[in-house]
Amino acid sequence: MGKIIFILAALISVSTANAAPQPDKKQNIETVTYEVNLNCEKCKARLEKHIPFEKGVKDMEVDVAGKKVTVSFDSRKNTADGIAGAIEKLGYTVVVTDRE
Amino acid sequence: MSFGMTRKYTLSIVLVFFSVFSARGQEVTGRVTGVDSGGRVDLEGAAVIWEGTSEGVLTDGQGRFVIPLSKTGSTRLAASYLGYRSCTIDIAGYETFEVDFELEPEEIEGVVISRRRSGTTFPRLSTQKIETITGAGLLKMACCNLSESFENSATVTVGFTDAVSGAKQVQLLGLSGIYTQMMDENIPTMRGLAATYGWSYTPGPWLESIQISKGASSVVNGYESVSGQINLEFKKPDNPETLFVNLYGDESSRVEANMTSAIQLNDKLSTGIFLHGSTARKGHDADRDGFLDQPRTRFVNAYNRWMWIADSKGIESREGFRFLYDKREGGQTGAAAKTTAKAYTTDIINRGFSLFNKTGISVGVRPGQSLGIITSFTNYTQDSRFGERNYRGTQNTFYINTLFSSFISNTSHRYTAGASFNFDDIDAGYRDGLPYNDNRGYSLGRREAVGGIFGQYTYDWMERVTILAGFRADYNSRYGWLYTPRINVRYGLTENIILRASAGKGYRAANALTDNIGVLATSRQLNVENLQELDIERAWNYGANLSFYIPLRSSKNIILSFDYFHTDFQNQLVVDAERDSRYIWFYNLKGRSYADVWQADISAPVTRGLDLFAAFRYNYTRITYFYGNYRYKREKPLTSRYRGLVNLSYATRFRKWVFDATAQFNGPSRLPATENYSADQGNSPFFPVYYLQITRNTKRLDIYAGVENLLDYRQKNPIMGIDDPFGTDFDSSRIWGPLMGRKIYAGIRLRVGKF
Repeated sequence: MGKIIFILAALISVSTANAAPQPDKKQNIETVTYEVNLNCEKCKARLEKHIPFEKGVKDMEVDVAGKKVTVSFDSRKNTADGIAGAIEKLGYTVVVTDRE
Repeated sequence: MSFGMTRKYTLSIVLVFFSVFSARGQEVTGRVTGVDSGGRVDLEGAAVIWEGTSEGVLTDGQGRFVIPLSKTGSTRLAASYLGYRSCTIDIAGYETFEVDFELEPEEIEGVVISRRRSGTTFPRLSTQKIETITGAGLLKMACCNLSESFENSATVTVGFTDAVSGAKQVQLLGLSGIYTQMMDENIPTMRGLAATYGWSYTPGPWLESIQISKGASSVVNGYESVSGQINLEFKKPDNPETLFVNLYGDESSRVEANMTSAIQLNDKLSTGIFLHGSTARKGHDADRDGFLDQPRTRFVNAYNRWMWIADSKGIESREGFRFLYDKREGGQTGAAAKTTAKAYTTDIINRGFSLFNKTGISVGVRPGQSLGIITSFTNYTQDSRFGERNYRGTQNTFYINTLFSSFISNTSHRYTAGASFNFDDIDAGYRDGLPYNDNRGYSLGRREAVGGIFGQYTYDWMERVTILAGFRADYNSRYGWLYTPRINVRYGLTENIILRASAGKGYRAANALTDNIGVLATSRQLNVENLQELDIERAWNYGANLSFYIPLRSSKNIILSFDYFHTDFQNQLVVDAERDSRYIWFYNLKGRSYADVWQADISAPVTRGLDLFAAFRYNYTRITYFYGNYRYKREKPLTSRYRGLVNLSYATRFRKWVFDATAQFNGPSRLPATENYSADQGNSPFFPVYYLQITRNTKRLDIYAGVENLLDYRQKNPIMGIDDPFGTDFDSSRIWGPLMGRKIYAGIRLRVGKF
């Protein structure tokens, strides 16, 4: 039984170590909306496979019909241009339309 | 949702008149695939059209198309297919004229479906109910090899054949996995001798997906499917993932490395090299009974596949070469061996190689009309020693299948017709060195040639009704003419309630010893004299499925499904280990043998990111033993009466963290009698098995860790007569539960290249 508790504790601690919220980071979250020449769902899937894993990215919304990609990221770790570059690297043209 | 017939017919009629081919350099090529809840499928007959014009083509059987550049100068290319949302791509900015479309299913209110894929899916439009274990599903557990990929499956049960060889066996519809036709991208595989250890021979990381279909299936792949089919889809050479590496290790000293690669050599030719190496140098003896329950293993598996696509000529060809070497050393460990006069050891070496070619050619001007030729050659050798018993066999198999596919008047009436030939040359022998057994050895070789013709007709009526009816006639050089009728019907009672039914016949030539390799891990005398007189196994299978797709506000569905299948054998190889404790008898069925299986399952999104899959299956199986003039109808031994499965899968946004928890609840099974048919040995107990896994995904690197059999449940005393392994009471084949205890494992997956 002790071994089971140890395993469960180890698995939970591994999962929570990185998942724990860090409040000071919230102040540095920047949200940028890009206009991207999206065509269909495949583009959305491709973006979701890559952009969330760029440095500092916290969230992303892809609006295929509106051809808009909104990315929230930690401004200490990345920049709006950096994110735009990552989207361009996937073969799309990007224009920044809105910043928060 | 409208079934959209008018649009489909209008497009079809218009597009049929347009040529598929044009000069290179002035055309756009690509593929149209659909992402259903069941995974990715090539869409045959999808319309690809220049927006605002009537210039268009239909895709071929692989979803591929070639379309000349628009004469009007339009740069917007649109793809559409009935039941899917259309997609338009502007190619103005493209450097190469290669365009792939991935269409999403049309949903109620036109809501975009979530991209997050479930691990197990059930496509709504398929004629049969198909359980697809997707790429995501294959990552839910360690999934080192094929047999381990089914731990999450409600349909397939995995177990060991015996307590010494480490060989795995599966059950589908309450029947041994030997009655399931295994397909390697629709080429029959794991046949004959390779069925014994074949479940270990396909590394999970090589696979793209697994499709499990129960009951009567298509006739185009032969007559051998009795309880169902399992098709394996490997990663394709034109996969954009250039290199994939998986490293795995567990506490039982098993380490494993897998690699897949995809190299695009030019616009037509691509190749993939798949490698697997694994070793468990120490073996594993969880119950410390002195016998390794996981033998020491060394396993090398290599696969090189090629894909050549000449869209402009309408030709696609796939080739592959595969090699495997498997060595297993088991039996008594060093310390235990000293307590007996002579150590009981097992040595098993399996070697094999295979070659295949699949070529598809567009024929004529009709869209989707094609000729396919499939050829394969397999050589497989099994050399095994269980204590004082040896089995050695070599099988050479040549297979060719030609298929012509087209339609009658319109694509609602499609047909496939063709001819096939299969030749098996098996050279095998068995030797028994136990002094108290009379039967010293026996030759088990045979040659079997089978030639056949087949036809299959598919009728679609507005996507509400699909009928798939097929018939084949084969001449078997040993068993004469064999006729195989099969039918599948799908009826959409409403858009969200689907009824499916199937009926059909299947045959199989038994390999008495390799199908039941556990009998060698006993001291019992094998009465093999009648093996040459065995008839082919033949059975009818009937079944029905009712699926409910209950739409939710979130645009997802709850899928509720109920199945019933009945398999009824006209003839079966009966392996009778219950008549007498000293013998095992093999004979043709005299009386009834059947399996009834009821299953209910539910797949539901619980909250954002959390998915639930739960299933319950009840088996009612009977077999008739025959002795003298008496028949003894018994429940099939070692077949669990019921099984429950609950899988909870939670993924954070973008699947950066994935948590999987699975619980299996295994019901009791009848333990085989040992003295005579009435000497009841009772039932195995109910037992649960729990699995946990955590995965951290990044763009290129995934790290995972988990535990199998969390509560360390093991079958107690799996080996009878363990104190004297060369004595008359030794028997390690009565396996109903886990032999390995708790297993903690960890691994990484690394992706290189575009994906």
